[in-house]
Amino acid sequence: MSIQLSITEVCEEIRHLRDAASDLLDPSAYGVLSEFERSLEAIAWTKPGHATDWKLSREQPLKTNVSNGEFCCNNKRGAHNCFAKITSIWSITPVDPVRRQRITAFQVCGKASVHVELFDESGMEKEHALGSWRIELGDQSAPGCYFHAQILAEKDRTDRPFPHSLDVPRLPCYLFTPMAVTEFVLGELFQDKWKSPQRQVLPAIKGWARIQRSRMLKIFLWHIRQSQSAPGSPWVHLKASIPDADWFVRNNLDLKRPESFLKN
Amino acid sequence: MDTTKCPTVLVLDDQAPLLSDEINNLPPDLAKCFRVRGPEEATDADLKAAHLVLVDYKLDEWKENNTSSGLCKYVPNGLALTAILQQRAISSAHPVAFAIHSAHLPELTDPLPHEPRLHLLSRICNIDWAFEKDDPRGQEIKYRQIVSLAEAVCQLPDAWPRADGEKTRAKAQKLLQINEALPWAVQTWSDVERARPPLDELVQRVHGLLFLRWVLQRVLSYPCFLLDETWLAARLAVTRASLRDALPVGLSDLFGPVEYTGILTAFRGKRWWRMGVEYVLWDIGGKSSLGAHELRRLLIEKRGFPLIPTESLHPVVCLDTDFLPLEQLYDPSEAVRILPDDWPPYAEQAWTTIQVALGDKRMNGLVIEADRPRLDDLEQAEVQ
Repeated sequence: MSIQLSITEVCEEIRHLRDAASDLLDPSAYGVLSEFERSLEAIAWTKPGHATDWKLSREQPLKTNVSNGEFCCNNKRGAHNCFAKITSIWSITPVDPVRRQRITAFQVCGKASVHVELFDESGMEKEHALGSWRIELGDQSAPGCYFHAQILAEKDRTDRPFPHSLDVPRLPCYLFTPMAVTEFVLGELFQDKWKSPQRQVLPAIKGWARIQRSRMLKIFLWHIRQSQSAPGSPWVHLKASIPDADWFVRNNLDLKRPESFLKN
Repeated sequence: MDTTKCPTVLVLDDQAPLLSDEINNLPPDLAKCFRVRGPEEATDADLKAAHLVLVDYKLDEWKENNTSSGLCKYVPNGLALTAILQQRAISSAHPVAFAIHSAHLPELTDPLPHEPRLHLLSRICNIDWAFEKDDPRGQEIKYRQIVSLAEAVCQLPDAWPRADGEKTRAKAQKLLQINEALPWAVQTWSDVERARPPLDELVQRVHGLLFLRWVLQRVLSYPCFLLDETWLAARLAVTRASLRDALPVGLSDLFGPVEYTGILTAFRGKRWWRMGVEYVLWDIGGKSSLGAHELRRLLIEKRGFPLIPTESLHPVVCLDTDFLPLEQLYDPSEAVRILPDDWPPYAEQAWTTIQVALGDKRMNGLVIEADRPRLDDLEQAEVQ
């Protein structure tokens, strides 16, 4: 079994990003994200062990607005007017509540993939793909590291470079939830707008930051733990490791208390 | 819920005999709830017996008042009288609500139409509600609504729990009729909490009246954890008219178990628990969350409800210039988000159509900054 996350926290993550990034997302995003949140809330009504595909579907992807070359920073303009479509599928199941009486967390129990595709806004009816990548969670038997990104190599792709038959490299990464990946995309496509001080003081960004800070800290603490305890090459050890299932729902990990996250 | 108390409404009106006649023409079960008094004849005992005090706004025919001299003796209108009576009622053994009853509400809400802004007017004037004397819905409907407010006051405890979070929460859940045994109850309570119910120090002083006001003015007046027909139609992505048609032929039964039955349930029409609706949809969807396409196919083709899908898969409710929901539901690409005064942050997003925003300066000014570029582009295109 893979990692667990808090249902409430991930729902809040969706709401905060929906509010904080509303000017950079397509108008359809409001409904798409509301549905995405609702379908996660419904996980609490299923039984532990029952797998559900929680997804942003290809039919109703999360779309960004068009970036008019704003993927360069300091007011420089890039050569493309482009936008992103984000789809995802996470196979998840509710976590059996042991002490608490109600379901508060879910666990990844199968595929966990967020797919980002960039398109040229050419004004023509057909969308022109500029590139794509996927952020995925591996499993214990997978050859790559647990949190990883793959360039192209999507199913049925035969074109080179990166046909589906070549599923390397699996680049390490640390942003993995659909919304965290979305923030990454927005930060790339709208360099100046996303980091603008006016946005960073929004209440929604503050709520967003609280969740991301805690999760990033946990992921870095896990990397520190794996690096510290690696018998040989840290990378080889990291590549073969997955976090304890409850790592991201623990409340006792503390940067100031190394014993809380390091191995004895 | 205490259903043994008989709700009593004290009506203070400078034309008491006229109003008495009007009330005496009501069905007896309704008329018995009212005690009509002129301002001069009302007594402490009347106030003590009342659950709701209905005060006329214009008191021009109150002769004794008109001849009073001195700054502190003259009562300019019903709102001023209400403020005095509210202070007297604080020492009452049970909660007492106050409402204005007037034929002059438009003067108070000008320039906005009064009907959709009664909750705002009440909030600004520190009263619980305002009722129109010549209610276009008919007098009996109005008086039943008034009694339903008094009934809600009866349901409040004489004393709100003090400094006991568990008891307070239990009291609130009882008033809202949240059954903890239901599978969607926990999430519903989270929804309620997000709407910031007054549960602690504010509400204790006034016998829970603030809780009642919160339901009246901040919950039933906005789409949040309770959905009315309009917002239910948007959730199902079907037209409002078809939802109205489908409710009496079975759809009402489908959502019956998640209909709101708590305090003030009869005050402003049917409402459904947002989370309960989600649970029903999840349940009939084979215990999985369906997309709009599949959901509508299930409801229309398999269940046979006469629902008509909207063009949009995620339609939004748009407000007109009077802040009333437009009959048609719109795709977000045809709409912009607005921030009407007082719209709570926990409520569903408020929208208006691009057309309305472009055609009305006031609505245009309410469009949120993030959506303004879309309007500006269209405005420029129109100019060119």
